[in-house]
Amino acid sequence: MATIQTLPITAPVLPKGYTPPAASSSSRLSAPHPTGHRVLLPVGQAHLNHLKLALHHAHDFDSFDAHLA
Amino acid sequence: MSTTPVPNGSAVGSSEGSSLPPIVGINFGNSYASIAVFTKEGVAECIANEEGERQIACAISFQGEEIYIGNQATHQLVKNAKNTITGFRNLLGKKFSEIPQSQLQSTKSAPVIQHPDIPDEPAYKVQILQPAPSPLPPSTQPSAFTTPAASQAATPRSEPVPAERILTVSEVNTMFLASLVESAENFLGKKGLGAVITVPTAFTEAQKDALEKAATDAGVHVLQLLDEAGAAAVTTTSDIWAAELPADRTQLIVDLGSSSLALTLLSIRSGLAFVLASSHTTSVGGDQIDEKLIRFFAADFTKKTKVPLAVCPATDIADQRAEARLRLAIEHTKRTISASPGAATCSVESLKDGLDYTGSINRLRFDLLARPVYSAVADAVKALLESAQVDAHHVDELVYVGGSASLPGLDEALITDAGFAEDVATPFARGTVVGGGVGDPTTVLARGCAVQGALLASIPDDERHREVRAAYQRGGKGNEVQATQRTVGVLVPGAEVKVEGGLGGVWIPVVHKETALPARRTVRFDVELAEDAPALAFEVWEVTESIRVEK
Ligand SMILES: Nc1ncnc2c1ncn2[C@@H]1O[C@H](COP(=O)(O)OP(=O)(O)OP(=O)(O)O)[C@@H](O)[C@H]1O
Ligand SMILES: [Mg+2]
Repeated sequence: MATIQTLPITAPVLPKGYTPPAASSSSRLSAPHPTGHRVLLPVGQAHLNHLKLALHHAHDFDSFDAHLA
Repeated sequence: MSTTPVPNGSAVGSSEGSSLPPIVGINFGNSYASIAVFTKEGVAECIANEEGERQIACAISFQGEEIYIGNQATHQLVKNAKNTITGFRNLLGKKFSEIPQSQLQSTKSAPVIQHPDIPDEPAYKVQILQPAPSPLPPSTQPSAFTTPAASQAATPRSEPVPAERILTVSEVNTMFLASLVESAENFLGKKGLGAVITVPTAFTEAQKDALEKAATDAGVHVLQLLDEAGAAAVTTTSDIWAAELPADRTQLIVDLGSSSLALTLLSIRSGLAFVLASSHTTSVGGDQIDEKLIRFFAADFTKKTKVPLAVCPATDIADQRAEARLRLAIEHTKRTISASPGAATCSVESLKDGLDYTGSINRLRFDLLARPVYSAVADAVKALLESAQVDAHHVDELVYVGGSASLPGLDEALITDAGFAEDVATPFARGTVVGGGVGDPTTVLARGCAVQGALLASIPDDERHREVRAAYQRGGKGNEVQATQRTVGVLVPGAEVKVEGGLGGVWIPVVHKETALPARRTVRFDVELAEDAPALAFEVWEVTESIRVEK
């Protein structure tokens, strides 16, 4: 299971008459840095999990969760 | 008297000991090394060697028939420097012709020479005493001749004979590593340990090969050579270090040793780490603090005794010896300055002309002396952040590694000079920089190596995990990742005034920039609801974060 981060935040009451802004239909998330621009340090449990997720579970978190359960 | 022999102590570990992983983590610095093992289930600690040292000087000294390794060897630098070898780690994997002339001769080590037989191989030549060959035992063969019976009196052992011994750099490193491993084996009561060993980021492949060979020759099974920053990351992402820190943070590792400064800016994201930027220089280090301190105490000695003493540099032999004695003594002075806010003393018996010396220095005065070094570190930090285009306020955590980073004055100077946020997380602020404790900068690397070793040892040795294990070999694949460029989070709209150019409401970053993909985050936070019209709305945004300076 993913660890849940509990944040010390209380979100405010929704203002009266709030209308969601319209996102333009062309808006997209920025592209990530290209592969190889960043290189993981091969250390720690999180890294081992990252490798197993890639090599044994084809990047499928649910499959990895099921394996750990 | 009892007739059953009682063993005088035993090297066998406690019964709990046998369940501990047979792993040693080795921080192999150029001037000091340290070792860590698991002392309890899940707890890696830096342990002392048989001499009671946790910081073990990388020094080997030959004195007659004796060989000293570690801090005892450094004491030989006063009168027996030419048979005392230091600085050998940095020469690993180097050809003789690659070593700069200036490094061949030093007052702090036996000279480096060209090996007499192996082409372009650096070596050391030391004078030793070889035990004389033992006299032959009396013959047990019956003799056909009637000779007088041999005397039964023990033949006096003849004097050991002076000899020359040539050691390659590799052999010296092997000897030293073997002594470290032996200390760990004695502690754990097990042999055949697996080891994870630190390696400086600046080491070439040839140097890594040489380190691996020296370690293998010392009888250890090398599980991984770990970049120093990697070893630090293991420790700083473990629960004992990071339980109260955000899982996603930008971390600056400041490693100040004796002869070098290494800076590494890391993105830490739920335990996954990668380097954003790094720098290394050999022009800043604890050695410069030593020089100032030695000059300070030498001047004080002259003031008190009227005996002239010229040090750093010292030219005549009496001054050179006095300088060497002071250099040994200030190790204690510096550690006291780090450990407590009071004044620290420096005592040397027979410093010069048979005169003893005792002096002291308070923290204020010490920090004044060390200030140029602190400033040089701050300048290097500023240069690194600028090259990485990261604002000092975006650094969430400072991590200190290396002996000289134990000085609280460095932390203070760095935070003000380099402009970090006042609440930037540091082990000094958390109060964990206590000798041998969680935040002790001299233990961070060795403990990280031990933890990593245990993790690697837990990977099953089967076909399914072949690729996983291969990723930890040198040049291993699978570590190149895509990472996000911008932070994605949710904005919960609120009634507050909008900051100009910003968004109104409460912004909750969820996937931070510089997060390796694929990533998954689950966050929980409280929401206030209006009684009459309970509703929650949030917007998903990708943002460019900036810093607002409140005037
Ligand atoms: N508690 C302390 N307070 C201040 N200085 C210390 C303390 N402990 C060790 N030192 C100093 O730290 C230096 C050694 O640091 P470290 O062991 O990190 O060096 P190293 O990694 O072997 O060397 P380098 O990285 O420069 O090649 C020495 O100058 C030593 O005197
Ligand atoms: Mg170092």
